[in-house]
Amino acid sequence: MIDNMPDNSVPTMINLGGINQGKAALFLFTPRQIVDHYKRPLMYNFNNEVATSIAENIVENPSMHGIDKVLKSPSVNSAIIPDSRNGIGLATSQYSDHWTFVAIVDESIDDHFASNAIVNRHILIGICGTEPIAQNGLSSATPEQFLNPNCQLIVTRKLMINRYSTAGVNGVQHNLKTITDTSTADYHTSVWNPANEYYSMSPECTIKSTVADNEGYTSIVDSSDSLNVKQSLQVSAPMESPRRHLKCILNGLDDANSKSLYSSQIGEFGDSSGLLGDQDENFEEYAKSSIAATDTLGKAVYYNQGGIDGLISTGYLSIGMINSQYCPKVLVIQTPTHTPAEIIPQYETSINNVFSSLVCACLPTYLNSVGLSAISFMYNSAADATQVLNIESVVASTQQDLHFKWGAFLYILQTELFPILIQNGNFDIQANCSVNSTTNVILNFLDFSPLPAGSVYEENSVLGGIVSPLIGTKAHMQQNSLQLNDLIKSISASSFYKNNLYGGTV
Amino acid sequence: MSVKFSDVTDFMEFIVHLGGIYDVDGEGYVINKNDEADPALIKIKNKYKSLMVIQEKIKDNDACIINPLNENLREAPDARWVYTNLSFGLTRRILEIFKFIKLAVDSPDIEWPTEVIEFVSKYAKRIDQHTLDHLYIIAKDRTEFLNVFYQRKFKRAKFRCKIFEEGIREEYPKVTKKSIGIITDVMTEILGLESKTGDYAKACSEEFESSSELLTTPKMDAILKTYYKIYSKLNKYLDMTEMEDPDFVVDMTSFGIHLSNIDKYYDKVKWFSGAVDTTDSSVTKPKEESRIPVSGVPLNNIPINPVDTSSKIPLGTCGGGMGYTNAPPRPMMNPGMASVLGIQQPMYNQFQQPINNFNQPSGIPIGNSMSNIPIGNNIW
Repeated sequence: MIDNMPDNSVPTMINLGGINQGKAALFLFTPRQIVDHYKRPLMYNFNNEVATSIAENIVENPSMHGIDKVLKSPSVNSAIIPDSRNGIGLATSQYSDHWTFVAIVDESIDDHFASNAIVNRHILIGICGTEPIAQNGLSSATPEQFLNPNCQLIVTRKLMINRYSTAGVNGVQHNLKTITDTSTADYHTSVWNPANEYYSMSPECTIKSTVADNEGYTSIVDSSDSLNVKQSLQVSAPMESPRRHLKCILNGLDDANSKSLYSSQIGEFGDSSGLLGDQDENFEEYAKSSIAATDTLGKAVYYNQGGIDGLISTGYLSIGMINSQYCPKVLVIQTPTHTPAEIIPQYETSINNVFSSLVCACLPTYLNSVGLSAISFMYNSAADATQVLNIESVVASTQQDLHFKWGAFLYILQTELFPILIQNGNFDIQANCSVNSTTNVILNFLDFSPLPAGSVYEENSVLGGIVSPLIGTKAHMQQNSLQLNDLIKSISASSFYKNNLYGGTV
Repeated sequence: MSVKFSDVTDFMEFIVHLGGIYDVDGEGYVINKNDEADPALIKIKNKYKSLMVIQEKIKDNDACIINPLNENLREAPDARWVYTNLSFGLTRRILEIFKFIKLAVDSPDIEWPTEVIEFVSKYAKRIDQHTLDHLYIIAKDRTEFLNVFYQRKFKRAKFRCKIFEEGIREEYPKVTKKSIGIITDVMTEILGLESKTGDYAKACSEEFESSSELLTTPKMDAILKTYYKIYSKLNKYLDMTEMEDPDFVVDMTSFGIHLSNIDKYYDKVKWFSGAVDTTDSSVTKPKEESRIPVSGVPLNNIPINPVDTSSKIPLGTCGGGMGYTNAPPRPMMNPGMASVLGIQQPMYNQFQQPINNFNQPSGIPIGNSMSNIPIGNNIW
């Protein structure tokens, strides 16, 4: 089966070795064909079954494992799925002439109290605005002297990986943890259709875009929050995984339920005035505020205050700026000009395309979360058979480390991605993903028509926030916000809130 | 038994056909069955979109895909269109039965089968043109006259027929007591209703009530079960009327198979995300032609007036606000057809003229109350 997968193995080589303070590298990749993308934003698809499951496990029988019980319910696997009705066409093929880059900077945390030498690895992925290097530098042993300092580096994805040490009975162990993973999208009218407005569809932004009115809820989206106005949007990449996205919402609902129960018994001033409150209304208010406070980007903003992120925060990053501050080692990498396979048109709506887009959105996030930079694997759900063909880490790793990382990656696939895919029956997937190149997917559902032989669904991982399913149009935003409010209303209308002692019927 | 995706497509076509006036072409577009060049349109966000039944591969991303099986917490425009279409089809069939009775009564020279004579003879001296005119006044809103509505809280569907409800006379002062009596008698017979107390509204509700055990598609399941019960009763009379359109007689075998496979169909289409109606939507009705000419009413090709549902009035508050249900859309003029209507001459008598003082009872879904729109001129 793997013979079908095109030989598209771009040398990622962003493995710079062990993390060391002060080390920096700039990888420059030659231009390659980028197809026009058809983005399918994640849409809330809440139905009665989901609402009932949440009401039962989080509201009526709250426990420490309430959220896990909901997530184990099969219905939640269809609760957030890519939009199959109205995708967003993006003219990304214009980036085919552009170089792409990966910048890696290792920085220590000087002002940290910890004594175990915490070092952060920042990884920036993106597109070069102009030619980054002169022709002579392509074959030079010292390409640094041929760099174009004025070349703008358009960042589309930012990663921060943290190395820390722990001491235990087995001695000192070095651990790695992905601290932040952010997708960034800049507004270019040539890529985005100016006729539409584009918004971040993170849970907190979604819940904020609805207001109550006499007939229920109406979605009112503030145009000033749009990508068109702000010119740049950041979204937390883990939220691009439906399971993590849903968990974030469930956390908010769980928190709201706790607050609602507490306030029903203990009034605002510590007395019993809460007993007089209308609990279902309280729940709705608390749910909105709790989800709005999830702040999925907050951690990234907190951590990304200095160092190389300080450079990015100016809104403009060039090779010269990085060169003058970090003097990075430059590596020029020749990439294949195109994928040697028939690329499936993304705009065609089929189950293969819809869920291939989901796979392409999720794989880079999963890779980043376990510290991998590239992977190639096969999986067949009917046989539950897996085979890994290639694996690369963002730091120097032993074979044993890679083995552990594959295990962690596979666990994420089996808990977050495969349960969604298996909803449509058994499937067979072959995927080849590199965080600084492309994600190629051959996904076949056994109960549906197979893909034509030799055809591949391809998205470019370097596009980051541009193709993020968390950035959608106003219509997407409105639909999600109304769905989320309907879910909250449905839960608040559950028998628990209507019938319990403090709720009002007694 | 496993189902194929083509079975899902067959099911979608089946429920489109139940409306009686639409067909599905080879590419999956919903079209007027009498005019292939007349596609069914739906207005979403001020744009008219073609309707297309869900298929395994959808190449027209601009079309509104009919996939009512993916039930959200909020009703989608395509689902609303489907339920409106079902309601419309039922009303239309009932009207055809009344027309047939009138035709049979007026045509004693024809050698009618015994069963027809037995059925029609009871109304021979009672039914006349006024009865039909009055029926048409009551049923001028096709989706309001007969309505299957869903109560989400109880996962059940109920059937209501306007003629059985209290206050019908006050609501339609121009309709005579005699006409209401005849219409009630015919309706109770063809629906097989019995009531010792004479409360046919209750009997109607109880007789056709259906609930669903499905977790994923309870609404479609419950509503179709109710329609199945109704058509089980009606089919005998639809068959009797010998209508030219074979779709008027419902294939109950296929219906039953589809009904038993709904959860399997859902498994095939749940990948296709449900839409949420964030703004107004509307349904346009293509022209329809009378299949049985009634004396005095010429057959013509003037299209029936399209409707628009841009109203902000909350939908489906049936059952005292039990939840948003099978709410038919509200009508409005389709701007695309305004020019046609501008030259259109009313072709019905004064009793069929639209009534603008339509008194909408509270708690009842507002449907296609075709105020200000001349309707149905080529049906009668």
